[in-house]
This record gives sequence, C-alpha cells and structure tokens, in this order.
Amino acid sequence: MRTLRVLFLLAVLGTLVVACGSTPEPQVMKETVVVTEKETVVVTEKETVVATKEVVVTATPAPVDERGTFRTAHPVGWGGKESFDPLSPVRWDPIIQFVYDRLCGRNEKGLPVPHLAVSWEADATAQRWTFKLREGVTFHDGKPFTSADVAYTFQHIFDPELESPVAAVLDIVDSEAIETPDDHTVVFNLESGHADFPLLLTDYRVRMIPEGGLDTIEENPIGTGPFKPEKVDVYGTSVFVANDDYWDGKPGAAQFEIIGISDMEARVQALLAGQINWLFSLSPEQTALFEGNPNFTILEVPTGDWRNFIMNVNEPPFDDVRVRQALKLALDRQEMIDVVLQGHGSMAYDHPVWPGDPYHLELDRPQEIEKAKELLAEAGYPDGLTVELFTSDIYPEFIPMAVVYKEQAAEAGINVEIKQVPSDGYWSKVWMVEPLVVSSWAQRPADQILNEAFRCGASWNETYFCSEEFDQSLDDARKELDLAKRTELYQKAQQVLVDDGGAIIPFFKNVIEVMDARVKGIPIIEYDNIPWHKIRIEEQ
Amino acid sequence: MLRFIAQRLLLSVLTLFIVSLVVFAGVELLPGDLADAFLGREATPTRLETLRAQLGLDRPALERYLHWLGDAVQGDLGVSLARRAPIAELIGLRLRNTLLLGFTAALVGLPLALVLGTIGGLTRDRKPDLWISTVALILMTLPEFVTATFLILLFAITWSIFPAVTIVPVDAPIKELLPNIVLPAVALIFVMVAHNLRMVRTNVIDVMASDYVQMATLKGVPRARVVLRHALPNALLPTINLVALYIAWLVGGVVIIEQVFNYPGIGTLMIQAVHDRDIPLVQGVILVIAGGYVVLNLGADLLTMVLNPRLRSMRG
Repeated sequence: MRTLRVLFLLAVLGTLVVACGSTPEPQVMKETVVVTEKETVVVTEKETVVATKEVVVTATPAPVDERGTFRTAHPVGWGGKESFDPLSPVRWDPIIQFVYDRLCGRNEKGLPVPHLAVSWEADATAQRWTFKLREGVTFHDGKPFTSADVAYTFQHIFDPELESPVAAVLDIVDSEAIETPDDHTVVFNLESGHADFPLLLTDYRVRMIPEGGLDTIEENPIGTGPFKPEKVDVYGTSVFVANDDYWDGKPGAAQFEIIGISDMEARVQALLAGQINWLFSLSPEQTALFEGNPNFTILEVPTGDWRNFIMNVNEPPFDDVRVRQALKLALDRQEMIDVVLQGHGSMAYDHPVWPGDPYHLELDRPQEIEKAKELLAEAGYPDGLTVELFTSDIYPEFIPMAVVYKEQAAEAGINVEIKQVPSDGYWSKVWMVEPLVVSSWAQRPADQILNEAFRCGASWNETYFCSEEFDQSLDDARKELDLAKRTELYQKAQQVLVDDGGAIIPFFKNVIEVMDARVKGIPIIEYDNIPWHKIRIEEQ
Repeated sequence: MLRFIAQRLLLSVLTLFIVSLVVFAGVELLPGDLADAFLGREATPTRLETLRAQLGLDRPALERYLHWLGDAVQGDLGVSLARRAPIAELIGLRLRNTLLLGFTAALVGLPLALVLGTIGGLTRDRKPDLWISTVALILMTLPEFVTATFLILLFAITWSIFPAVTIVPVDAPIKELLPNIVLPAVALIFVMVAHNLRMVRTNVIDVMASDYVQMATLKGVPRARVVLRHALPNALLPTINLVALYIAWLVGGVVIIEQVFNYPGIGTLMIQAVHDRDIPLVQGVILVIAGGYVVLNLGADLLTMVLNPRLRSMRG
C-alpha cells in the first residue's frame, strides 16, 4: 500500500517536472497543422483547421521606412475566435479591418460610399441591383480583383455549415441568383425590394476574399486591404505591412503593430509610456489621465451604441400603453447622460435610430412627471406602482443607469426595485425573460436595427413588440426608392415606437479615443469605418 | 526520520488529490456544464452538441474524473478550449516566465529581508529599527497595484528607463524578457521584504533575549560571533517555512502584478482562462499551482529538519 502511494507521488512529481521542464520551440510554420479529432475542439460541424499561434507569411521582415510604425493594442481573450476568415462567426476581429475590404464603406453621414464597388443602381422594384466594381484592384498576391471573387465570397456567406452571422444580415439576397455578366459587374437579385441594399453591404463583416482563398485562409490570409499580414500572433504582437498598391493610395504608415494586452489599465499605461500610439474607447476616468497633456490628442466620437430599459409589452403592468408611456415620461434623459456617461453621449428619444443616421427622427422629450402621474392614474395606479428592474455589471453603465432611473421614476410615484443579478447567464436567463430589464445594443443602420429589434417575431425582439402598422412601414420603406418618402416612412416607424413601444431608450454613447499627438489622419467616425490607410505619424 | 519524511510525502500526495477533487467537483456544481460555460452567448444547439461530443461530456462524472486525473499524472493536462493547444505546453512556457520573475524577486528580496530584519532586531527601538519598521509597515499596507502603478509612473513614463508594459512574446528568450522583469520584480520585492523582515526581526529579538545568547555574551564571545554563529541560525529556522510559502505565493499568486504589467506568466494565463471560460485550462493551472505549493512546502519541511538537529533525533 505504501509502495503504491510512493509510486503515485513519484508520478505526480514527475508531472511537475514535465510541466516545469518543457519549453517548446516557437512554431513558425507555413503549412497548416491539422490536429486529430481526439485533441481538437471542433465548434462547427465542419472540421476546423487549427491555426498555429504564429503565422509567418513573409520570410524576412521588410525594413520599416520613414512613414513609421503605428502601434495599438487589443484586449486578447477573444474566447476561441481566431479565424482569419472575415465571414466566420469565430473570426479574429483585429485583422479583418486591415487585410480585407468591403464593396461599400460608410461615411460620417452614415451613407454608403464606394470602396471595391464604384457605383450601383437598382431597377424600379428595388429588387435587382447592379454593382460596378473598381478596376485595377489587386489582391496582396497580385491577382486582380474581379466579380468572380464577389460571387465566391457570397457563396461562402450563405454556406449553411459556416453559420456566418452575416448570412442573417444579407438574408434578403437570393443566394442562387447572383450574376456576374463580366469581370467588373455583379448583379444581386433580392427576394423583395430593398431601397437601402447598399447600406447592408457596409456591415463591417462583409469583406471580400479571393476566389479559392478559403483553402489557405488560416495560414495565409489574402485580401485587397491596405495592410498585409507579416506576422500574426493572436496573443502577442501582430505585424502588418503597408500595401503600397492599395486602390485608395499608399498607406500613411509603413507598418501596423497590434499588441495583445489583456488588462485595460495596462493598455492605458502602455499608451502613457509611448509603447503604443492609439487607443479606442477609454472610460472618462482614464481619459482624465491624458487631459491637458500636449503629447496626446483626445477625440470624442458620437456613436449609435445605445443602452435601454426593456419592458415586455405582454406582461402586466407593461401591457397597458399608458403605463409604458408613463415610465418613458419619468425619464430625465439629460441627467442620465450627465451622471451615467459624464456628459459623453447624445440624447435618444425611445427609438434606436441615432442622430448620425440619415433617417433619424429628432424629437423633444423632456421629463414630464405630472403627465406621467396622470397616465398612471388613468391606467389604474393613482398611488403609483412598484416594478422590479433587473440589471448586472456586464456593462459599466448598467448599474448606474438603474440607480439613476430609480431616483427619477420615484418622483412620478413609480417605485423601482433594483434586482442586481450576476452577469454570467444574463443574456440567457434574464434578458428577454424578465419583464423589465436593462439591455444594450451596438450601432446599426436604421433599417437593420428597426427590423432586428422590433419587427414582430424577430428573434431579438426584446420587448415582444408586435405592430402591423410598424412592420408595414418598414416593408413599404424598403421598397420606396424616393429618399424623402423613404425617410418619412422610417420616421413614421420610429414614432410608433415612441408612442407605443416597450423600450425606454435614454442615450447613445460617445466613444473617446486617445492618441499620441503625432498621429494624424483619424476622422471623427466609428471604429469600423476608420480609413486605416490615412493614418500617419508625423515627427514633431 | 525516514518515517517522518514518508509521512510528509504521503500528506503531500493526499493534499494534491484533494485539490484535484475540489477542482473537478467545483466545475460539476456549475449550472450547466463545460460546454454551456465556454460557449456562453454563442451557444446554439448544434454547437453545444458538437462540443459535448468532442469532450465526452456524456460520460459519468467519476469516469471523466479518473480519466482526467490519470492523464494529468502522466503530464497531459488536456487541450485548451479557447486556444486549441495542449495545456501542459501553455503552462510550461508561462511557468518559466513566472519562475524567472519570482526567483529574481526572491533572490534580491530574501537577502535584503534578512539583512534589514537582523539590523532591525539588533537595534531594536533605536533609529535604524524605527526607520526600517516604519517603511516596512507602509510597504506592507500599500496594495501591490498601487506600488506597481507608482513605479510605472516614475520609471517608465516620467523617466523612460524601463518599459511600462511587457510586449515581448511569451516564448521570448530570457535576454529579451529581462528589462521587463525589473519593475514587476521591484513591486514584488517591496511586499516580500516588508513581510519577511518583520518575521526575521521578531525572531532575532526573541533569540537575542534567550539564555544561551546571554551565556555567550557573558562568556566574552565577541558580539559579531554571538550574532552570526549562535543567534541567527536559530532565528532563521522558522523563517524557512514562511519563505517557502512566499515562493509558492510568487509562483501562483502574482496575478495582480502580472496583470498590471501585462507580464506573460501563469497569473495572466489564469485570468485569461477565467475570462474565456476555458475551464480545462483553469483546472490545469490550479493543479500546477497547487503542485508547486505542495512541493515547496514539502521542501521547506525537509530543509527545516535537515537544519535543525533537534528534529532529526525525534522519534520517528
């Protein structure tokens, strides 16, 4: 018995020795490593190719020219998302923007602008869209970009085994009917008319890959983008070299380095110490570290990211529209922005279309306590009512929002009991389950967000809102080719949400960027539409 | 004496065994399972099913536990869910880095603690002791991330002597890692020295007041000899255990320092694993750290026995 135990101990000690001793060589390979079933974790039905952590694409690094190196950091911990395929649900986000291009980009006004496509027009039904592609564009390996690549990319998007998140966004495209009459023309046939189809193509994930590129995409990602990958290390430093043949001109920086730093404070320290040049999205407290410092420039960017309180319109008391309106009227939006965001936000009016969107409906909705009380009395709550509000610390604004709203609603006789729950399981057990919950959305164009969040029966319709009038406005708007009329229809839909809907939306967030004062060329625009090739570093 | 060693060995093994049980059972008690936890918001029925089949989650818990333990003992800690690489490999690299940091800190910190503690003990309540004790108290109470941030502010931002944050890759050669070790090591040294010196000081005071020291002094033995040959060896014995604990803490618990400096060690691996909900990796790291603690503790016990003749002659 004792011998057994001693042997067991020796085995354990042996393990420790092994753990301490092994220092494997860094893996620098060009060919793919395919791990057998027993060791791989396959998350899609198709066998996933395991990417090695370090991918060297060019044999020797090119010397950096006088344009210099632009450095930034990413938060690591992408939780298994390491694919270099931009359409994949497990794509590695940092690489997508630099290496690949979209057909259309988006400008500061939220309108589509030509990128790989130079022009587009629809037929009278807005169902048949003809796109003319840019000529003279080449991929990083020199191969010319043609309509065949677009067709190939779209086949990949609609591949059911891929489960691409983009497939739902582009649902309206008839995947069987994409025509390529010549090398620089693509015709999309939609399943129903959609006047804003080009806007759908500006989604940050709809990026073009070369025909046949999927076979080698994990160890040799090739796109038409402004930067070519030289060394990609998902957990450490990745290096990208300027694509001097880029269709929109030579990039301003010779090299991009993106470094994995998991701790937020550590990223800020790195920026302070000059180890990186730029950070996107700092909190107001962190921004304070850079204020007044001439070595740094601070940029405030309004975005369409929003937070809200959801009321389930089928659950009492929220099934009474007067109660819903009362809760909305009890909200003091400016105070929310001042306290929760420290002023770094813009007002929302209980609809999700942000001021930067061409279809935004501007309203005036101050807090109206008396009106709120009246409505509650009418609805049968003359002495006010008590509601439970669920929140968690999943986003930094969630708890402050609940606390501030509690104070504001109390004035109208609404007693809000805050129920703070763990963030683990929030999206599966609380969101869309409890009747009054704090929620959050990233920016999307009007048509997308109105459909995704409020169309009757949509999977993420968090308020369970169901209005035929609303759905009809959306359907009509999609088919309407005249911009003024289309705007009217979208605004009509927004008004329905304001009057009837179950979402209390107080604000859109601003994002604060901080950069080394020598960095120039970054416009005030959201992250996904930053023209990376226009960034340059000037010596002072 | 042999029996004593054998007893300690068995206890260590038992400890590790219990740790493995706790680590495994803890995961079983989670609502849902490994697959739920890892996929989280990305979970779709197909993905959950595939992942579960891959990990063999349909087998009974006991079978999975024995399988896992058996593999672990042979050095195979499984595969990381998030990084799809063998866990032993991931841990190995980072363990090297953490040990480098830890032992550097210990190498400088321990002698420093010894010297300062002895001075403090010998000059008790006089100026040198007052200075040393006060500074130690301050350093003990300041949280590590405060001292770390202060060090970065001073030596990386105001004067660009050292890098603020480590940006070299995990497998970088030691030469490249060295400049990045200085500031984190200093932050660690502050804490280590503060705690250890107080222990040394107390022991020195105790020992200096003991009979045999008085006897030696009365006999006319020069003070230096009294201190060095008679007092210190006895004062330092109890310190060995504390030191062992500190080294174990260095290996497993420098999470905060590593995070603040973005140092690629076991601490940051642990945090990333928890963040990714990569439970096999978390389990692997815990096992290794527990193993480290146990081994170091065992080493401390054996060393104490070797150095202390009294223990050697104990029955058994």
